[in-house]
Amino acid sequence: MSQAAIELQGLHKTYKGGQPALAGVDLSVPRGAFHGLLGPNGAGKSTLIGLMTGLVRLEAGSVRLFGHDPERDPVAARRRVGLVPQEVNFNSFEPINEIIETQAMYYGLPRRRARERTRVVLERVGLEERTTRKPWGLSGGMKRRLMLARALVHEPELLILDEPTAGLDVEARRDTWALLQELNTAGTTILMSSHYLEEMRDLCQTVAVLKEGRLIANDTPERLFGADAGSGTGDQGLETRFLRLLEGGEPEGEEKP
Amino acid sequence: MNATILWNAYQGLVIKQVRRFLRSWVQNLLPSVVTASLFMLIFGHFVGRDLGRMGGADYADYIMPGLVLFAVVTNAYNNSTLAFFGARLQRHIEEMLVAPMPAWLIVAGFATAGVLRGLMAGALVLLIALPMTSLEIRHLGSGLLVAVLSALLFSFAGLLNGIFARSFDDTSVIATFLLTPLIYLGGVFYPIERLPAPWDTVSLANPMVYIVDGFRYSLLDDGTAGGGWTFLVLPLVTAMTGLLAWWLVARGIRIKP
Repeated sequence: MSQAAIELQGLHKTYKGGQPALAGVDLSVPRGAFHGLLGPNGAGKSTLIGLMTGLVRLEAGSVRLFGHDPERDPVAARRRVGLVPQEVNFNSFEPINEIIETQAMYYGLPRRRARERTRVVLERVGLEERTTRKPWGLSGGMKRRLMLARALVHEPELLILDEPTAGLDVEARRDTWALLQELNTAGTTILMSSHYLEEMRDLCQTVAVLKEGRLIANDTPERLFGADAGSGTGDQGLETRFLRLLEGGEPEGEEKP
Repeated sequence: MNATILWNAYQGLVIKQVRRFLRSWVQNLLPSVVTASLFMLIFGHFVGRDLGRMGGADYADYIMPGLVLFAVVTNAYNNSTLAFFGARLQRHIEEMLVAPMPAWLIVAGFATAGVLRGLMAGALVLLIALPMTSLEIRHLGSGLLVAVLSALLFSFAGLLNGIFARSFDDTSVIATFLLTPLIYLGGVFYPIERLPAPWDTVSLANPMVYIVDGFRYSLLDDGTAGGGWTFLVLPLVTAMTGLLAWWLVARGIRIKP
């Protein structure tokens, strides 16, 4: 049995136009980890997530989820994975409970079980009073919660989130953090991309940093930014240290020879 | 276990798609019934009385099989086209791509929904038209076979349209400028041997001729164009179209970047 939830080797992807989105990325995420994915816009975070989840065509390299190739054995690999994408991707004219119930069935749950799980996850994300409504009237935060519920309906062992808290207010963001921490404590492996450095520092055990399609660092937040990194914009600020890392500087916590 | 998972996923997709077209049943199912009823009234009765018998039957009886098929194939086609294009446009096709659903299952799910809508529309037209004719269904088994295969063929064809469409305009272009003329010129209203040369020969290249002819044989025990050709050509073309749709979805054409 593979000990890694995610094993990526030599991932390459070039979109039309010739600009490489990923240029040989290797990454391994152990089971039970809370792993962050950091990088500026266009670094390749969403492409990496798309390659893992089957939304982007693989050009070269290999993806293994719990030791299985998702293309050759989609049932063994994909059934254990839930995805919260960056952009809204549900049918806005379909009632909320039907969106979740259908997704559960897509993952192989029988209809009755799918209905039970739909009720449970909608309650968990606080949308239980809107189950028969259509999502076009929901706020941005509620839409994100709906996507989270949809990703959790089949009780995945690996949850992949692409900027799940983008655009959320403080309260909604903290609720999401609490839920993710709860899931991780219960054993769910989490891979999350974000632009919020505090989120990475406070939630993730390890963080991979991408720049121009290459993995430039993969370490604990303390070693990447320094244990003393704060929220300010000064020399000790997370943003400053992150920018320094992108510019090719040494990780703050790394032992110097 | 895999078979159960795939069966549940297939059910989920079919239920979702059937709910989708039943939610707007007035818009989706009734237009075919209204159009067929008007044709029956005007050409079958008002004008048809002066035309006398055709192909050994009253004119109203003669045109009815074609009108039923017209409803079947246009509904099957439009359902697949709009459902697949809508799923691409709103990106909820991603709900299927991330799930353990192989390409053949996605194609089968969309095609099944198209077949069901086509058969529902055909049954409604038959129900309305039967009292206006003296028709007796002569070969129920072959009639059902032709109806199901036609619906399947045009579901697959609609799927191809849905895969390649870039805008809503593209979803109606094929139906308006290719499908409708093929149906009208496919022997719905007249036996093609009555056409002057070379149009009688040219018409033999129209696949609708064989489909209408096979269905007319099933209902009236009268076939003029191809006889057994219907049961040879129709399954073959259906299988080829289905394989093409599967290949495109499996390759992620117009679905995955």
